Order: sequence, then structure tokens, then C-alpha cells
Amino acid sequence: MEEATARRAARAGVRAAAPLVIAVFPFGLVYGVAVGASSVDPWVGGAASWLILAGAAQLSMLDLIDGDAAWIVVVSTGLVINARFALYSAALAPAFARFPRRWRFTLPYLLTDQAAAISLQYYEHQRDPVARRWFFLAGASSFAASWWVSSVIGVLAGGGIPEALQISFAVPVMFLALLVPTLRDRTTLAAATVGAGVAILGAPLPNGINILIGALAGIAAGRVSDR
Amino acid sequence: MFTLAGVGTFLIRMSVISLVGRGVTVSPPVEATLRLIAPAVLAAIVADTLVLDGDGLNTEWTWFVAGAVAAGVSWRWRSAGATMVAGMATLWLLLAVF
Repeated sequence: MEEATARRAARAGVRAAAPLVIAVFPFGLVYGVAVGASSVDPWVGGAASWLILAGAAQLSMLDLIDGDAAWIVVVSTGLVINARFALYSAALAPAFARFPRRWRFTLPYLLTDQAAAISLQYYEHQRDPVARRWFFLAGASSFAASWWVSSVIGVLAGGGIPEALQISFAVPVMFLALLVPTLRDRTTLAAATVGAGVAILGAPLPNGINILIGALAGIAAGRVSDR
Repeated sequence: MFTLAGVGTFLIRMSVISLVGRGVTVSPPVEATLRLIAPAVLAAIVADTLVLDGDGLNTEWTWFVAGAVAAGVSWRWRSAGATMVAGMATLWLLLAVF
């Protein structure tokens, strides 16, 4: 019984991730190519995809290392960019609270924007903790695998990918595909509008901080519009 | 450096999840706040990756048109696959024509 639920949920996770997994691929290629073009050892740059598993942070850190920034600057930049994961951690926490300990303390390794977005959508209409954790494991692993494989291919392929295709456009489209289904009413729309607006206004701030304050401002705006 | 950032990132991901244990009930105001997290964060990332280019504004109008088409498709059909295809196809069409 439980096994059938798990299998069904895992399949649903892979299915939900599939179109977006393809979009993660170009992002990974962009990162891999950047590693190849930098002064960073390709093995070290590739290992970062296992250690950190977060594209935007890895790209910014790579850039800083290449510019001979101090290690404390490099590490704190990565952590600031990834601070948004604390918000996803909060959003997922009520669901994860019902998972056995070994799941609760290992699954977060796979927590990415994509994994959080598809899981939160699935959790809206799926209450069973068994189905919920298998969905997350399968979906999140799909994204992680795509990230690992594509960053390695990017390192190996080097500049072999034609610029003219502008595959980096797949990144904003992927996030649009994750964003739009979350817009269901006035409050979510307010949160998104203010979140985007503040992120744009915050452009001169260091990388990642504009996203963080945009997100926080968006959440606050959504709460206010609910009154 | 990557190891340090990796450990830090894992702790961030774990943060709230590790604090909220079994039997914790979430009050309605907290739940209303939690459901705003995904739209707010994702919208900020879309803005950052689509509208911005480094510190300045992105001047590739083709990206805006293709982005709008992708958003429209996503809104109408709620399908990530269709959204991806529509967005990339529109961009490549525009790049081929202009």
C-alpha cells in the first residue's frame, strides 16, 4: 500500500520536474563553460555543483574567485545569494515536520528553487506525508542530476555552444513557468508584483541581496493586501 | 571556499525545517505568510534574470517579448513544458527575423 503510494508519488515528481529539468541544463552548461574559462581548476569548479548545488551562487563565486577576491567575500556572497533557501525551508517546514527524522535531515540538501516550487504546488492537493516525501525526493533529484551532468558537459564542451542561440534565456523562462502557477489571488499577485519591483530597484546592491529584500518586501506586501 | 559555502548552504536549507518538529501546528496567519514565499521569491528571481543585466536594465527587447509570450502560455495552460517551448520558440523566431 505504502509502496504503491511512494512509487506513484515518485513518478509524479519526475513528471512535474521533466520540462524544467531540460531548462536547468542550459544553466548548467553556462556554469560549466564559465568554469572552463576561469582560473579555477575544472575539478574544483565541478565539485562545487555537488557541494553547493545552486547555480546563481556558484556563478557569482566563480566570478569573484577569478577576480582574486578575498575568500571571506567569496563565501559570504555565496551564502547571501542562498539565503533565500531559508524562506523555502520555512514554506516546506510544516510538511516536512511529519517526515521521519532521517528524511527531514537529508532531503534539504536537494532543496532548490525548482524543487521547492513544484513540491509546494503538489502539497496543495496532496496531504499524505509518504507521497509528499517521495515526490520531493524524485523531483528534486531530477533537478540535481541535470545540474551535475550539465555542468560537467559545460566544462568539457568549453566554448562549443553557439552564442547566437541565447540559451541563457531558458533561465528566466524556467522561473516564469514556476512563478505563474503560484499566482492565484490578490495576495499572491501583490507579493509577486512588489517582489519583482523591489528586486529591480535593488539592482545596484550586491548580487543576491536585491532578490532577498525583494522577496521579503513582496511577502510583507502580500500580507498587507490581505487585510 | 566551495566546501565552506556548501556546508553553509546546507545549514540554510535545513534551518527552519530542522526547527519545526512533529506536532507543531501552524496558525492561519503564519500559513497565509508561508504561501506568499514562493510567489515573492520567484518573482524577484524572474525580475533579476529577465529585466536586469548586471547592475543595469536589460536592453534585449526580444527577451521581453518572448518572456511575455511564455508568461501568457503559462497563465492559460499551466504547463511548464508548453511554457518552455513557447518562450524559446518565440525568442528564436524573433532572432531569426530581426
